[in-house]
Amino acid sequence: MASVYIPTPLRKFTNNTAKVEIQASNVDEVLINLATQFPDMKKHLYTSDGKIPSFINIFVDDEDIRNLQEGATDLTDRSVVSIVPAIAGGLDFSKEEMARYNRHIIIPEFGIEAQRKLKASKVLVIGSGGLGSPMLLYLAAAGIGTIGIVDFDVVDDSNLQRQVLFGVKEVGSPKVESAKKRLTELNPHITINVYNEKLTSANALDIVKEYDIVADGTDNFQTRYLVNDACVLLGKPNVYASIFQFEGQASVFNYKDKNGETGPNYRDLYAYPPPPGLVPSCAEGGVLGVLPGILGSIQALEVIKIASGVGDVLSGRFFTFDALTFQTRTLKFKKNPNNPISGLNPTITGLIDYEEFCGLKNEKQVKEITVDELHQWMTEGRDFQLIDVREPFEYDIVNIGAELIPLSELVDEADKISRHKTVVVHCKMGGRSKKGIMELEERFGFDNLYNLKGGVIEFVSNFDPEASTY
Amino acid sequence: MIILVLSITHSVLEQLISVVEMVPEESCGFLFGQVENDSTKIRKIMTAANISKGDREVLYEIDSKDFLAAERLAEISNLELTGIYHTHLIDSASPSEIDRMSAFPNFYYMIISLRNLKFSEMRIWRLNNNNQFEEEVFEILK
Repeated sequence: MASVYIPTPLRKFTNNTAKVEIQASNVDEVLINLATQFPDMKKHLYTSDGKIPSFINIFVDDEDIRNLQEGATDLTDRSVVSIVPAIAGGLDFSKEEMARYNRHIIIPEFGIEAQRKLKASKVLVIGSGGLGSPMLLYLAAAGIGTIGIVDFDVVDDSNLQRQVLFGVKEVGSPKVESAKKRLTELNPHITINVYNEKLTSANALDIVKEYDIVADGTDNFQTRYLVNDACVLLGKPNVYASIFQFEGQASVFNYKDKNGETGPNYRDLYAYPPPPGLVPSCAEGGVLGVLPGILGSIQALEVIKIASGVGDVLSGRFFTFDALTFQTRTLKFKKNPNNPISGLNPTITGLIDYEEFCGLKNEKQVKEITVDELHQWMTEGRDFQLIDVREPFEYDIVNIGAELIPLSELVDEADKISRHKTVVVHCKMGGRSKKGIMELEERFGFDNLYNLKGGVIEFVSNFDPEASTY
Repeated sequence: MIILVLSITHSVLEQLISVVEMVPEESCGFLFGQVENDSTKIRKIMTAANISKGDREVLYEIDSKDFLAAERLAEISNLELTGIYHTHLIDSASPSEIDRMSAFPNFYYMIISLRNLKFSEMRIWRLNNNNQFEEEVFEILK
């Protein structure tokens, strides 16, 4: 028999009795019997896995059982067992965090409550390139508690003009690793998870479900539809932006507002993608470096508004920005009842094959040769014609001795192209030359044209690494 | 006439404020009250050392031995241990998530917010049945 002293906060469970007598020979038995006698007290005496919780200290006479034999501490008839609440508390932010976030906290409409929400939020950023770089810098600096980054790419020289997360030292390193290092230096108080892989239909749901908010910083249609559909299926808001040359656009898709109403998504704007090749990527068409800085910052802003609950989210509205004329517009759009994933009769109920959906698998193919084959032909001195369809300024940067006929002049200059021997056509990466070959075949019935896979860039990187590139 | 459930005497309040304004870190201690039926009058305080091993400007912890001493003091003074007070140096008098996670039911949690070590705000909280803090209105007695 031992006397057990019940602390005031738990006396409600013992009918306001401070001292109860419990039949027990050690501390563990005291707790078991106490919980049996006063079942409501059990959750304060045990954690879900049956241990003594950290917020309870147990004393036998004047000694903490941690300094005795813990639960196995023997008791005599004269032992007094005291259950003592561990009284503690404090701020969820360290002094350093309070100093860091001071300029947020002192905004009356924001305050420490909104800052707490940022700390509690989990944001997934897909792509750490032009849009992802500024977005990640601002989200990390603002104190988003958990940030996930998906990117399979490595840092390339041509990224540095706009991807401000990276420097010369990072060229050749995986983007996610470089990003994590830079962001941890910027804010050591947050958690950063990296996924050094391509987002696909196979992994998207597993990755996205771990987060509260998704921000899409990619620039191809298959990933854009994949991210949209994954967010719709999992009920996550999707902060979107895209850029091309001098133009940018942004919106927030699938956002559930305070009344529980879910806003439109990307498929309400564009149910289906454009035909392949119609809209060029930034790698092909180029982009003014500061533009993703502006749009990526707008994405960071919308993420912060969603996470903190402050302000009106850009849901059901589509923002466009023309950097040349400085014309901005915010267009309203609504849910489309025929939306194939969120309309009245949805036909998409899971993730699909987005390469096929975007027509990339059914695209007409042209004959190709690899850079290795071309190099061999050159070494063997084989008789063939080599044509470069890039622009003259690109030719000046780097060339492999081809005849220059820019894509726009190809049709007019078709009589310069041999019909009797093999003709290899190349551009920077293989996209424009493929287009050129398709046009020549269609209009003039050429059957001797071969596209150089990977273009001049892959050729010089394999066989002339000292050559300048772009 | 509305009779408030919770009250604190003016003299105890003055004593409390003068004590906490002296401490340049989160300070903490016990509240003792006279409990009659459903009403609680806070009549006495006891300071406790902040033994947190973390940053004591933002964290506090009370030694279990001090808790036992407070229980004994309650017994001999014929009062009840009714709650805990602690200060916030750089935050309002609202409980943080850490405060909530480490709180016990049936206990008043008084938070005193200081600005540059001068009294700024005081609020009293108690866990409801959903384990969320609810603010308790209190009266200051002459």
